Amino acid sequence: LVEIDGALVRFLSEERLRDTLIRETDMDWIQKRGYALGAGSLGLLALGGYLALVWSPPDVDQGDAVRIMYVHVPSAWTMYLAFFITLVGSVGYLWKKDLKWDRLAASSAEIGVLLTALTLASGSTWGRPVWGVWWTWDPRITTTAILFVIYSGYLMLRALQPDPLIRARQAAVVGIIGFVDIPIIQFSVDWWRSLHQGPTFRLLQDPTLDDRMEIALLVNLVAFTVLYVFLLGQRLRLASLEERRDELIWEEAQRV
Amino acid sequence: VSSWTYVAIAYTVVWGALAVYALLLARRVAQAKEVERRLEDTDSGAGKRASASRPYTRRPYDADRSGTAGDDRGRHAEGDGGQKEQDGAACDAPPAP
Repeated sequence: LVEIDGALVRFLSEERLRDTLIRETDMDWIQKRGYALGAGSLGLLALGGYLALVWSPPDVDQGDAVRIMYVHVPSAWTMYLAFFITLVGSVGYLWKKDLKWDRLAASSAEIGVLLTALTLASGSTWGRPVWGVWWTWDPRITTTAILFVIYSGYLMLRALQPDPLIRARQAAVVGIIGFVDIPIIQFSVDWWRSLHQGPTFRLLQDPTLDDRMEIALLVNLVAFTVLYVFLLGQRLRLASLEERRDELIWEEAQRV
Repeated sequence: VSSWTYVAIAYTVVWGALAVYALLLARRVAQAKEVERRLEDTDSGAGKRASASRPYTRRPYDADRSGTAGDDRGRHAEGDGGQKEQDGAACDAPPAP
């Protein structure tokens, strides 16, 4: 047992520690691509904002409130993507027992929880002028709120378990089970009659949007995706630095 | 209330939250890099002091605890339940003579 930052952490042996902690601290590649991704996402968000707020037309029924779609739908899309990456990281950890997969899952889940909160907040703000209410227990909204609770619990579980190996295993199980909610959210509007509108895009079907609306939405989808990749890269970099820090503290503790 | 008010609220919340998260992340990365640098400096310094009486002046996590350079939201710190002041019992042992 070793105490790091007040938490008792179990390491089987120094060799095991060295095997499990990531040795690679040279994160230059993330940094170099990070600058490009950060600048790219900023530029795309600015373009997307212009297309959404100025260039695209108002909706016949909803008027200008439809412009909330250009941040609501991309938030939801990147939320799906973030939790899919969490699923991949969780499966990867259980399969390979390598903590780099755990770091990937945890980093993506943190961003995913933020995006889920933004999806709910923007949806609520859109619902008020269109439906007349800030909140309703619609199947899609309810299942999205459940997703938020599941992955908030995932982050809390990680915070409460100090042992990195036990934490990684427990979090991987929650990360896999939690993903079951994603297809339920996506297909809830088809399975149940609900207040929420159907999917904006469907595979193999022509979109029902105006061309300018479609272009504005696609640009914002790309912008949010690039931003997600940028944030994930930075969060992974932080996770590596923190593990390296803990490793150095461990080495110092061994010496004194 | 016009539709534009709701549009303004939604965009402020979404863009604002993402910007704040990105800035916090950048700050945490900078702090973690600083802590790593200081720890590595201490690590290399300790090796040179090994044969002497180890005139210990500053523990690596002191920087972390003081908040001047450390990231107090580290992986293990997240799980300490607010007991950060009790940290480093293993490191708190007096230096070997």
